[in-house]
Amino acid sequence: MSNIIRKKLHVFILENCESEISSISDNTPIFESGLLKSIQIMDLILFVEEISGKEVDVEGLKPGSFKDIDTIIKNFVETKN
Amino acid sequence: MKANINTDKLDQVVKRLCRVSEDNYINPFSHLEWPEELDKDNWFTSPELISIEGTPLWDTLDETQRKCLSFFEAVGFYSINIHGERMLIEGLASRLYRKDKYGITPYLHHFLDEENKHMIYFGRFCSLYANGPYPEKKMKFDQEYEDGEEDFLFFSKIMVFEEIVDLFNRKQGKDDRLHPLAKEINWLHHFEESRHLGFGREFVKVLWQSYSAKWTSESLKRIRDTISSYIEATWKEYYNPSVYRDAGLPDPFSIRKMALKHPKCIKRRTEISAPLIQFLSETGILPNTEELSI
Repeated sequence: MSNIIRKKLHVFILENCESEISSISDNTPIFESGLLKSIQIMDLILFVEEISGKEVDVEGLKPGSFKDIDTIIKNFVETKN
Repeated sequence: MKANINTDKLDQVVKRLCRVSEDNYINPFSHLEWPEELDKDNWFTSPELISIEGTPLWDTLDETQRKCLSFFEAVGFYSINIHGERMLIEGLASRLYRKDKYGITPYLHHFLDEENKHMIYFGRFCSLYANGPYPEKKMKFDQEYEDGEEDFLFFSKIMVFEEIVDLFNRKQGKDDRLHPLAKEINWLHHFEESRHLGFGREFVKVLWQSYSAKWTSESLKRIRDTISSYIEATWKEYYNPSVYRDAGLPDPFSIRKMALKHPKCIKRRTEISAPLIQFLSETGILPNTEELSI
């Protein structure tokens, strides 16, 4: 399950970033490296909700919560509820 | 540091708006009547302003479904207002009594007071008649700024947020089809917000004139990109999957994607944004507005 979500996250980030790159790793910093702009956080949160089927609890979120694909999977996919 | 810019007009605007705010003070706790229950067989958002109006999906909905969606769109719209105003209040409060703020502190007190009142209306509606405001799907990122950049972006973002919101308020505040409470909330917001808009444009212009010549071309590009992206992101908030879900529509995420791309929805966003875009273009803040993605 989380592998499918991981692949979908790769595709989403590559489709929405302005850099002309063809691949990223699970540890590539998403916002810190400028792949996505901070203003795109809403799109990413909604996408995570869509593919995980769980609502993201936005209270208490920090920029590090979406650091890279591994972190997203850990924080929002592999957690209960 | 305050640059050598003529602020006479801004000073006049501040004095006039302070006077008008004092003369038109509204008590948010007693001004509106809040029924225990709302008759949902009403419009709560003008049909033409509902996010999916004009799409094939809209055509499939009967009047009961459309009115139900209009209620949750109102909750979504009020939630956008609450979150925007919360950001605004935080930023305004931190700018009170700062020496370099062009003598705007007297008006910032009114601005803060009025924004707090608006949040009371919006919050009360969402809490009494729905499950509270929808959460904001955003968060802050730390950033380093050039001299004046943080203030300029803060007041520019306020202006973008308020100008778009106000067009909804202005239309809905006069729409007799709306439930009286929804109509009154929109009218009240427009009534006070129109003063903020006058202040916002004048102050953004002064900040732009004060600082833009000092910014490097790289910084200017970043600042312009930020404003363009903010306009786009602001509009995206109007397409809320939670609204579609609560209105009983299937596959809410797909509805959002469909509506964001639909020509009728793009046309509506473009028309509503037109006065704002014209201001940004005429001031030189966004010289290439044809490249904007709305």
